[in-house]
Amino acid sequence: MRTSLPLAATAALGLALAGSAAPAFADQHEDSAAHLSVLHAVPDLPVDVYVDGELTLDDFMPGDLAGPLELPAGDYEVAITAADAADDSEPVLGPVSVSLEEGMNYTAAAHLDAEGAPTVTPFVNDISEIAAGEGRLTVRHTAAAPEVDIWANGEVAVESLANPDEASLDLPAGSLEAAVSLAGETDPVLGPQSLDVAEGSHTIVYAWGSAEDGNLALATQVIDGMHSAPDGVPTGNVQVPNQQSQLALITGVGILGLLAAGVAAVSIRRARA
Amino acid sequence: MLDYPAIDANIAVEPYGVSADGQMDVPDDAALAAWYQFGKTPADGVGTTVIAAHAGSEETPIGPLYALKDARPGEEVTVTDEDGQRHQYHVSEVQQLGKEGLDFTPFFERTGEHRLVLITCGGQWMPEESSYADNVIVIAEPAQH
Repeated sequence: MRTSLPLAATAALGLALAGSAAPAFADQHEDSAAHLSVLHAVPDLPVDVYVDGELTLDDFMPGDLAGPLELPAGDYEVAITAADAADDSEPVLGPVSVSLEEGMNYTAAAHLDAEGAPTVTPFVNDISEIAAGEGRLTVRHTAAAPEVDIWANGEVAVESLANPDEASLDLPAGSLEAAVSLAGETDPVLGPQSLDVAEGSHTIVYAWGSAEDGNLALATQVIDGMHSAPDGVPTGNVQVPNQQSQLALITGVGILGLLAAGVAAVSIRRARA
Repeated sequence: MLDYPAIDANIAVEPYGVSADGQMDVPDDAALAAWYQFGKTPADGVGTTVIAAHAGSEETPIGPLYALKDARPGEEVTVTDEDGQRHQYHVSEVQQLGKEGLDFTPFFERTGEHRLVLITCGGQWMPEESSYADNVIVIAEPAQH
């Protein structure tokens, strides 16, 4: 079934895309909405993107990321044409049906498959809460290349990732040095390059392009707002001396004598250690 | 730098993050306060700026923020940020909450109206856990000019 976009959503779609990334739309958290970003990862091919027959991305260039668009949940038909097409009657890719569920976050990536043929993969982005102090990193293989290993800080972090698979992990926020090699090899085909994993955010890295054509590249998408509060604020690990406890100590000295006072002093020092 | 004249507290502030145990990282010395670096700055004007310090420590038996338990609504607090900009607040709420199972989400907001949140410990000292039972949490709102 073909669901047509309500007028308001169509207007929002065009506006958001015209301004590329439009954070204002991402901030509206309507329960019934889904978020959709679109990544163009097919080398050398400027395209137009049609959603339900409407031109929504004009002259979309390779390496560009559009969105996120806030769309009502439902089914959408996406067709990709050459940039100079008059309408979506002769798509170079699709039409593909994309089903968006409410509250979910998607990236539709137009990219090459392992053999170099254009394809579209609808990725679901994990927007679940992230522990305080951590960021989420996902790597997606969307390049015309065999299986690859993903390196982080000089070590293999993900082994034998195949097109169009992804690998994801939460790790302490900060920057790391990332590289991509063909599976089992050590020479990087991409990188090494510095990659910032922001706290409370989901950083998604796409390896795209073609190994054969020598135009492999990385594209990065960041989704923020999944932060959470720390588990606690441990600000009281040492007892603050006050008049009451000093009085108790003096009384203790009087009753138990010097030996006991010595023991008490030792135990208090231990408690503060 | 945090200045809270009514409780005689004046304390240097440095950025801190999260410890390996998932709790906010706080400097050992109670004479130094932590600003939660993943949260908001006073200049951001949105969400909460969280500043926390130990009630007491080996080096500083009575920390400047230990007196937060005596904070009263209406009192003035000034934060001077690293650009030298002074941000004035008025205390709106003083809470003392049991640490056990306490959800800090409302105090670590990154959206909504800007507030200053000061945190230390207080309440009953629990020798067997070498910890106070409660967090003392003071919320202050930007002063109107």
